Amino acid sequence: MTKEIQKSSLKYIVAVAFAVIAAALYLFWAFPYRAALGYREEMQLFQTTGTYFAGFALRPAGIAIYIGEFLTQFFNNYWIGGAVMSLLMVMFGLSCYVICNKFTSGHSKTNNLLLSLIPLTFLWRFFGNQDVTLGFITALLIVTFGTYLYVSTDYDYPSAEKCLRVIVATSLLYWVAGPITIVFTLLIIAFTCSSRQISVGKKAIVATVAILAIIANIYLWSIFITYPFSYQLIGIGYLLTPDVLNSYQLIFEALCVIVPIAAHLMARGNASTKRILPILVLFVVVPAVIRYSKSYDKTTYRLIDYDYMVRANDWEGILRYSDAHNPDLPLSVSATNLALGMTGQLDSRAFDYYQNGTEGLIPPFSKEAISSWTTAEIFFQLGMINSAQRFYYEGMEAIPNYNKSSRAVKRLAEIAMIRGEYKLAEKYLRMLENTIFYRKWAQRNLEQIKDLTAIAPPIYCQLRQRMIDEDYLFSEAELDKTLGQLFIKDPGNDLARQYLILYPLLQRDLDKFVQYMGVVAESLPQYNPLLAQQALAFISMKNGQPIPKNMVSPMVEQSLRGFAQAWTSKNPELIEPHRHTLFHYLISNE
Amino acid sequence: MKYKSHTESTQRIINALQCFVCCLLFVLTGCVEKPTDVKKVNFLPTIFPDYVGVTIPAEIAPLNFSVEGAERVDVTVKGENGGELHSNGKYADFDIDKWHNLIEENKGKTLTVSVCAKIEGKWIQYEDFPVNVSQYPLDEYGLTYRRIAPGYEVYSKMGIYQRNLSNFAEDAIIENTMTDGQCYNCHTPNRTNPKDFVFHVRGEHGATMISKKGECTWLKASNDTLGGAMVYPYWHPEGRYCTFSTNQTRQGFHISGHKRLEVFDLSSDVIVYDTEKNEILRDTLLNTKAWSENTPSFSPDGKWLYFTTCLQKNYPLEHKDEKYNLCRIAFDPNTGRFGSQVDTLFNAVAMDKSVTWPRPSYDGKYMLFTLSDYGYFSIWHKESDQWLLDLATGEARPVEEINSDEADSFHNWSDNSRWVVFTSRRGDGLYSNLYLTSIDDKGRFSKPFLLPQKNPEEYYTQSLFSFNTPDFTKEKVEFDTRAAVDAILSDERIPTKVR
Repeated sequence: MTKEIQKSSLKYIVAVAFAVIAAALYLFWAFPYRAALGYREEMQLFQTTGTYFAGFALRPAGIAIYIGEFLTQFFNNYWIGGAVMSLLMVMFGLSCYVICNKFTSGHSKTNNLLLSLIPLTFLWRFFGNQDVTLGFITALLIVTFGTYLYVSTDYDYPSAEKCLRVIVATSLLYWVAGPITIVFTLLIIAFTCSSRQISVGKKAIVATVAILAIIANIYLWSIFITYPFSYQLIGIGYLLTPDVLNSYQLIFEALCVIVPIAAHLMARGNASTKRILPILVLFVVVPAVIRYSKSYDKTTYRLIDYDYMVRANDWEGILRYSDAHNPDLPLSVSATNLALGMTGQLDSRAFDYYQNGTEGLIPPFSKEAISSWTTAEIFFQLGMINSAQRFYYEGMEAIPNYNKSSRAVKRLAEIAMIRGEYKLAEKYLRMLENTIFYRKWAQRNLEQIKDLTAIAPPIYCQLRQRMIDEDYLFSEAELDKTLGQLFIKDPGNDLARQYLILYPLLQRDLDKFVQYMGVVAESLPQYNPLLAQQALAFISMKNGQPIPKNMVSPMVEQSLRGFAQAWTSKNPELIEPHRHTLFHYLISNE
Repeated sequence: MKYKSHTESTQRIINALQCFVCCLLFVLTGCVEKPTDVKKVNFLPTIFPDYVGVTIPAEIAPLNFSVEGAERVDVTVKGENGGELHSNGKYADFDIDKWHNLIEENKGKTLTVSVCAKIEGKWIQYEDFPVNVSQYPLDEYGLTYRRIAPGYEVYSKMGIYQRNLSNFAEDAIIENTMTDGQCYNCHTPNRTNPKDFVFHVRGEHGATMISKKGECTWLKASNDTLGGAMVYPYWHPEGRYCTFSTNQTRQGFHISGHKRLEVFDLSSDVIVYDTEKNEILRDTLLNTKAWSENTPSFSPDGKWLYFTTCLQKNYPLEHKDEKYNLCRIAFDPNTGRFGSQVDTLFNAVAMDKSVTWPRPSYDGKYMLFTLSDYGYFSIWHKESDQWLLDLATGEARPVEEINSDEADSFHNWSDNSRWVVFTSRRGDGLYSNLYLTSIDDKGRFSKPFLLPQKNPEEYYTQSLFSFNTPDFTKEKVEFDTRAAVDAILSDERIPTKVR
């Protein structure tokens, strides 16, 4: 009776423990790390078609990666995405727990619960690498489920039957889940060896067959698949970067094997061994949780956060984030400038934040997805539609695992509509129609391009009108001239105007600034933002001329005089309050 | 614990099997829906791909197609000489063997295609349309081509592939996933013979690979005395020589308008590579400083070297003035010497146009080339069209029967000079696909048809690749890809000598 009560209370404890973990993981992914979900989602374009599935079916781990991509599409909505992530991780924790129970023949379940927290913690840490895909965790779950199924049905079969089971299970798992099947191989060897009912000879046969089976699978698949051998060993699709072996992956996979074996050994051990277990787990799990930021690199995640907000066009969010985190990386500077421009504050507040020259306005092309897409978004908002198209396209082609991108294809469809390339737009929209989250949007737009007389969404009309008429070849060195043309084409293009004014200031080219202000003044004679006043006051003081009171406010004049005094004093303490000003930028060369 | 009896378990299995068979029958019978209450209309169906009135070789794979807006289709194909084929489903999907039996029986005759489609719940019977089975055989195994996303500077997965034209099988000859994302291009067989071919590897492990009778030689991609890397190859018919141009290629990106990018060369010359002596043959007339010589090819008798030439300008500023003429120079295969004069075969500059990709038919009758407003990378030029030059009369004409409003570009002839494969962006304006057409005795081409696929609509909608540099292949290309990958990664290259 007491045992039964203990059993039911243990069940209750297990359920509560995993529920708490699930809730914590949900909060973690749905809130502070929701951008990481968005990052994974934008790095794929999952389609619900047979052709798409066929691309996965004939490679090891293909099925797991396919399921992983299917689940990843739900990251489009971070409420659901957080739940998916949390559920998968908890499922893994539970699978570890039940495998440990099998290894201990149902004894020491409390210990097993504690032990299963170790791989779960390491899995969570491993997912700090933003390039780990859900394909990995899916493969892992398939393998742990396969292991559980195997050990649950591992009766005293004759040797030949046992070997056949091992070969079939290994081959099936290797096809579906890929090289992580090694966890299955090692666990079934350990399980077989731990059995007292099986003879030593039989154990040796099973172990040999298991090892040969996995080696044979690796070799046979390597003949057919068109990837380097090393990729196959790492696991094609486990990470977005198929050529990088992450040491965490190895440690984690080793833990998946060690923990059930440790559970088995501890269950056999004496009472004192069992007592030290909670302390042992505490020493592993607690520091791993506390020091999680070692795996969740701050700099990387800041960039991912910016990328997420740029994608959502959350300009106010970017500015709040920049106020809190002082942007100083090329992507964060350019995203902040874009947000300032989109909220009409760039020509007054640009130097409230760190500036790194004109590259902070429009970064040069780099063969990398998220920085390309941030630059693409700048071009898109400016009305440089051709360049936006190029950067969105190139960003997509730079995804290291050769995936396509839902985010990029959606924007490319919009760009095609803006450019009036309706057949091309239709192609992209038809692809998006084969997705869950973009289907309605795609169908709405397909209807629209069918009926070209229908009124296009205002944003498309506006951007189409902004496109400059003169065609020439893109030049990074002459982007300011293009900004000027954009402004001349559409004087209502606030973003182009602000970028045009800031561009020469970031080059510290005051003559050019005066020239560009003249261009703006032709269309907007009243335009006199704070930065223009500061620049004008600075030029006047530099040339030894009186500051024009009708164009420069007393406050600007006063701040310039304050800066001049501080600068001439060469006292760093006095200069420091002026560090985030145009004056300091112009004079300091920092 | 209760144990189920043996009989009980067996009964459960039998029940499950019965259930499964019932479900299977339901699914199978549900897949065929016969047209009822059919309404006849007097217009043709809008089908994808557009196979209405096309001419096909008897060896071609089934022309599967879908009907716009149709939930289901019921298609019957009848041969003029007899035979009938039927397909019922979401799209017209013909059995490969039955298809071949039907068209074999109807060589040189016409097939009549009757289409019935269920649209918004109602069946419609369209007007029948013909498909002509050519009397001319294809005599080729299939096609080789490169598949790559039509991007700018970055490329994702790409490779060189071969496609069996009798069915839908496609195999990779080499893919860049095997070698950390190298770029492969310009796979070129000698007159569709897969034993002799060449292709280039670009990037970190760059090389020019020459395969002769199955033996591979990996050459250094460039030679210090040449202006740039060897590109755009074409074989001499005897197989000893292969001509290339050596281009210092640059790209530019349009800031506005409908064009996306431009390719231009800071310099380019034409050379001939002697595969027996590992020697590069040059000539002052093909290596001028003031002119760019480009996109060479040999005449089928091997006595002429065709190429395009353009006055070198200041690029990228004057990229719109890059205009090529079609020229030729004599070539003596015995000595490897060139003639002393260059003849202009087609003066495109006089038309304010530019010639590229001259490809003579192997019977020596015609020269097919691409004409665009400027430049030579015609796939990025919407206005580019195919032109045919009659080599006997010197008359040239735009091949209107195969041209489209979008870019029509690179092309090659079948070995019997009866069929042409070419790239075109007529589908959506960006992704180039392959079209086949046949030429009759009067030099008229048939309506081109899109390379068939098992489910063309799904395939082409989902494909984010362009097909380029297509060519026919007489037989399946046998290539030891693993050995090639090892050779590429080894970086062991044979330097070329200049004569």
